[in-house]
Amino acid sequence: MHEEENLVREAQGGDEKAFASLYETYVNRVYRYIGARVNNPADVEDLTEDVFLKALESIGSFKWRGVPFAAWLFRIAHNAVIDHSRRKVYRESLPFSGTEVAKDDPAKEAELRIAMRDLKAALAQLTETQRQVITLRFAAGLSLKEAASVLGKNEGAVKAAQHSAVAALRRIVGQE
Amino acid sequence: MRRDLDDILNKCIDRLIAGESVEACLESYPDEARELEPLLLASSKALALGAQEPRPDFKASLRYRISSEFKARQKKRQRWSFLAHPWLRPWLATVSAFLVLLVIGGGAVQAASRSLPDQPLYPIKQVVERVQLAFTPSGAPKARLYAKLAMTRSEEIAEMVRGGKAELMEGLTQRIAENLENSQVHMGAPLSATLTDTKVRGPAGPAGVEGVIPTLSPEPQGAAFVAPPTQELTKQPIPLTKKGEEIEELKKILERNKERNERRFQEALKRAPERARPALERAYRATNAAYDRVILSLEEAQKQESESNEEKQAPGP
Repeated sequence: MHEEENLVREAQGGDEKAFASLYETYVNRVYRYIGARVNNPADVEDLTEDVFLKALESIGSFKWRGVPFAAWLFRIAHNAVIDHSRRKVYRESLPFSGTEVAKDDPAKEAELRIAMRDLKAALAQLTETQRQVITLRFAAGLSLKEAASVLGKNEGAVKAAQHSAVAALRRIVGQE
Repeated sequence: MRRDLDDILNKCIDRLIAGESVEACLESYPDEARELEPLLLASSKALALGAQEPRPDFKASLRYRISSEFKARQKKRQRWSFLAHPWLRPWLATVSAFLVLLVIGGGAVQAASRSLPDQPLYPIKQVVERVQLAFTPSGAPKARLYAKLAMTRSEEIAEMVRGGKAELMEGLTQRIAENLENSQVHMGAPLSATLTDTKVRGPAGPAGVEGVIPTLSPEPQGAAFVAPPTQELTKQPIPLTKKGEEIEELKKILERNKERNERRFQEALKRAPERARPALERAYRATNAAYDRVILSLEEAQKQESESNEEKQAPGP
């Protein structure tokens, strides 16, 4: 965490390598988080790009006040997803197929694509908070503390929401 | 119980994300295994959300885009970095303040002119003064404005006495001394301290509030409030140049202000509650000393100006 704090400070001071390092740390996780919420792969890429350009634009205003950098970054990602859904620019007809999912193993790739499709259908039936908790924890791989910080809730509340989200997911997936 | 299961499930999800199996987790919690198993199976399915990866060419092109953007921003930052130059900052602040005043409008500015340091409009009064200072030419006009501001602070002290706010009084006293010193500097009078600078701290003020305020010899505590005698200033007949006239004019203003200052303090002391009196007396002595010091300095400047003028006018060999 200390190392990340230094990277953020250096990036704020104009060190390009430091920002590049933060980008490498988070690009896959941001992409997965957006990919779990948005259907069209082109939109996922566009939004991922928007998130990092926005982060670059506002990194100067980021302050370490108990908020982890990951939480700050995923708030930007969350806002980007919400704005996107408000603009109603989903291209639902296109399958979610543009990402790299185990390309070296076609059978596994097909299996994962089906799992992804089913999961996204199940996620659509959850409440917004439950959907958020699942995508932040399982797609972005954030810790409970980081997820709580993104959601602006305490850890106990997020833990309870996570339990109810997984239980709901089990019911939905079990019915299919 | 529910909270326990929330905790256990959370720990198991962390372990699944880290690559452990559902079975390993269930083994750790045999008592909760029956309830936990379906939740962990659903969780392991949800892990598929983390299996997607961005295309390598997309990642590379975004990295390039960010790098270009970063460089462009750095260039732009360097182009405007002169705005952060120390000598430019006060001007930027003044121009911003002027624009704020334009937006606020005349009514608020008028109302603020009568405000006191503990009132909400006081910051506007300070902005107005800063703008006045910025747009007043250096030299004699600015020196006169500083003298006027010192008097304004004295008037504020007199008003503050009614509330017995000794801690604010000290800050104002400090600003009177600063304003008088600025007046002296803008008139080109020598800054050599003819009176001693003493650190004072008011017993009624908050801890840590200190200021360097020039004082005359201390008055006996608890004695009736009597104005300390003004220092004897030697006066010589001096032929006046333009600068000499300006110095003379400022000196007269300051002598008049000093008298007004004395009267205000004496009136204020009559109205002051007992607990505010020591601070008020201290403020009076400090401001009076500051006036004496500047007047004396102006006398010296006047003398120097006169000597220099005499040298210029003296016939050659």
